[in-house]
This record gives sequence, C-alpha cells and structure tokens, in this order.
Amino acid sequence: MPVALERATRIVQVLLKAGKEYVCLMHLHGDFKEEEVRKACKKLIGKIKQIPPVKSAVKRIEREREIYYLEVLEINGRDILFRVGCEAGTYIRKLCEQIGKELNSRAHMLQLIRTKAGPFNHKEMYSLQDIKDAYEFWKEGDEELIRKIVKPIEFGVQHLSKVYVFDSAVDKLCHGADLYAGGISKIERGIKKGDFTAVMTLKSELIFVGESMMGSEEMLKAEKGTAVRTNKVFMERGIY
Amino acid sequence: MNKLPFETIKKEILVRKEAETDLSKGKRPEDRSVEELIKYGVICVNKPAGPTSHQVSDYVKRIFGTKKAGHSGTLVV
Repeated sequence: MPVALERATRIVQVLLKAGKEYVCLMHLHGDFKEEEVRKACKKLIGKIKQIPPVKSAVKRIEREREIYYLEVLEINGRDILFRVGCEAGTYIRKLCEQIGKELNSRAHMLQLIRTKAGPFNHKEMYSLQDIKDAYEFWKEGDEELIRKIVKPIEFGVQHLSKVYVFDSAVDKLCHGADLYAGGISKIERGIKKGDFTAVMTLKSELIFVGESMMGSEEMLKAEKGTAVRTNKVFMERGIY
Repeated sequence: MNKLPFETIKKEILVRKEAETDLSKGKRPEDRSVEELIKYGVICVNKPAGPTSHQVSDYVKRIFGTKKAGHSGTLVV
C-alpha cells in the first residue's frame, strides 16, 4: 500500500488513474476442461466493455477498458487463480462474470489482492517495523535504510509521460499557472492530447501533474497555447 | 513477463530548445537530504491484516512526525 507524506500526499490521486495488476481467485458455476477455461480467459485480453456494478460511484453506462494481460496461475476444480494487468477503472468482479459468460455459464469473484498500482508493486514493500527502525537509525546517524525506504515523489510518476520546462517557467507553475508551449525545453515522445502528464524541471523534479492539451509533436512546434493544463501542484513556491 | 504498458515503453526525448538549469535552485531527487525526501516522499508499506489503511497511514505519519499522509487503495500493494 503506497503511503505518501506531506507535499506528496496528493500523488495518491494520480495513482487512481494508473494501470493496475491483481491476483484474483474466481469460482466457476460449472465443470470445465482446463483448455476451455484458459481459452475463455484469453478471449478477454484486449479491449472489453463493462457496465459499472449497481453499487458504484460512477454513471452506469457501458464503458471500454483494456485488459493488458490475463494469466491463469492455478486451476483447482471450479476455483481459478489468475493474474490480470488492466487499465484503471476495470471492475474485476465484472471481469469474472464475463469469463463465466464466455464459458456459457457463470462465475464469481472469491478473493482479490492488488499486486501493482502504476509504479508501485508488491515486490518492494516495507513493514511498519522496518519503517520505524529506519527512522530511529537515521536519528542515530545512519541514513542508509531510510533512503532505501522513502522514495522521492518522482518515483510515483514513473508511469506518466513527461515534459521538461525552463527554470524561468517553474515558479509560475508552482503558483498554479497552466504550462504554455513557450516554457517547454524537452518533451517525451508519444504524448497524446488528453494524457495525464508530469511536468518536470530540468533537474527532473516534479512540479505538477495535469492534462496535456497538445500531443508531443505539437508541443515541439507550437510557439504559444496551453500545452498542459494544471491539475495537482507538488512543488512549493519560491524554490525557483 | 507480464508488464503494464508504461513498463514496456521506451522513453525518447524530443528537444524543443536546449537550456541550462541554475544549480543554486532546486535539487535533483537523488541529491535531496533525508528531511527533503520525507517532505516529498512516498513509501510502500506492507499493510498488516487488521488495522485499516487509514490507521496504517496514520501510524506512518506518527513515525515521521509529519502533518500529512495519504494512502492509496485498500488492497495489498
């Protein structure tokens, strides 16, 4: 579970929109051959359509989500364990029902754990005791462990495309201004209009996260116009 | 191995206009002091079974003596 501190706190909202990976235990309402189950699961890789469940915070209209990968890990009778990588906002409970449907039957979700949220994965996690120890060691003069445990906020935006701006633009952005094309020094290739984008200094510090109003190529050529509309500012004012 | 899209994309940089950066302002993430790291920091906590996500992030907040801490999600990672 990612925990963000102080100025980084709002990064957790950025992670809501990041791709996720889950390991899910599903129960089938019928007996099927292993190949049939694997085939049905494979069919759901790619773009799928889902209607949000009755109990949900969003409007219940059909929406498209992408399943990047779906791997069956274990089959034990009617219980199927699988790993799925998917776009933010995919309902795994629905996905289980869709797998059931693919088998001309039904299925439901028994258990779910999340193993990735954007750049955060289950492989590098620390216990509360580790964190407490690291803090105490640091107070006694040993920084090694705390430096390993506490990641810079930039770690949390690894999954976003980036735009790098001139020093002269930084403070205006810290005050909440949108980024204009004229303030851009470098751009990562592949940004599309509407993408969630991280705006960085030339020292690779995160300034803000926002929605791009132009694609990479347009940012490269444009002399004026809003390139990235501000959403969440992280850098403090007065540093630049 | 199974990878999310951003884990496979090769990042290529397009230069609009090269520029220098003033080293007396700001700091590269790897040059930050521990205090600065904590101020702009994220931690991946192995959430123990029992307490809620909110209680766990509250506990982390108390370890560091910070005013704010937020968590993302209620599941494993």
